[in-house]
Amino acid sequence: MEEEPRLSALFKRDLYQILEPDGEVAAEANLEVRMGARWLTNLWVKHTHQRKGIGRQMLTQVVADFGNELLFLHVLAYDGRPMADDKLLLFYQSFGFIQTEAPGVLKRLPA
Amino acid sequence: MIAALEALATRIDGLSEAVRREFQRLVSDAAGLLLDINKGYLAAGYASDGKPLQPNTYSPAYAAYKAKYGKNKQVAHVDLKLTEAFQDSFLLEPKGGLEYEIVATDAKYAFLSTYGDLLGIREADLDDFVGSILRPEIDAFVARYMD
Repeated sequence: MEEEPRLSALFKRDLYQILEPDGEVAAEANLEVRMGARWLTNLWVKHTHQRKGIGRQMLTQVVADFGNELLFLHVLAYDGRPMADDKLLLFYQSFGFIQTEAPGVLKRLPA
Repeated sequence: MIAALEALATRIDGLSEAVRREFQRLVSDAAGLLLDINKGYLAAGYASDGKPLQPNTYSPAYAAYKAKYGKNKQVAHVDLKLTEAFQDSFLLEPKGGLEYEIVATDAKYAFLSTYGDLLGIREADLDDFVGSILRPEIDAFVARYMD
């Protein structure tokens, strides 16, 4: 069996990354401030690392760092159909994100 | 017509402070209706230029959620209304004289503008508003203080 590459985490104030041993980005998420609110943007996991809990690891860290603030995110599956991926929605809901009046936009109230 | 009203506003600058305040209150009260017109566009699924919001349909997952939990349960077109927090955040920001700008303070506006230009009303509707709502109010004001 091929050995899984060891991954490392790089968490900065506004950038969360999981890196492969050679420095290639395996997963990433950004935090941006728009109109005074913090938005989680561009959360993605490289295809070869999907379904291994990496996205959950990153989001857990985001919530640990910013869970006392109002957070927004826009759910957009890779196929470009907002909310088409119910599993993606459930994933975010498991972190406390709820729907807003904006289709595809979720928010998480401060803890 | 708006140019004539602006000229009138200049004349009003020469009036007493109390009368000027009353004029500004008259204008801002009437201008509040602009917010209702703007929200009416969104309720019907249109942007500020009168063109349909894009995309103008909900995904099946969101439509099901809105139909179940939304205050406004219509799902035939996108109206950006679930809890109403976004549209409740619309404000008229005075820009001086007779000029006002519609702004949205809700942070979701940062994303929602991808649906189109959401804030503002069409020139034709503004003319209707001025002619049928604002002008009669101002005429009454002029008759009261300036004739």
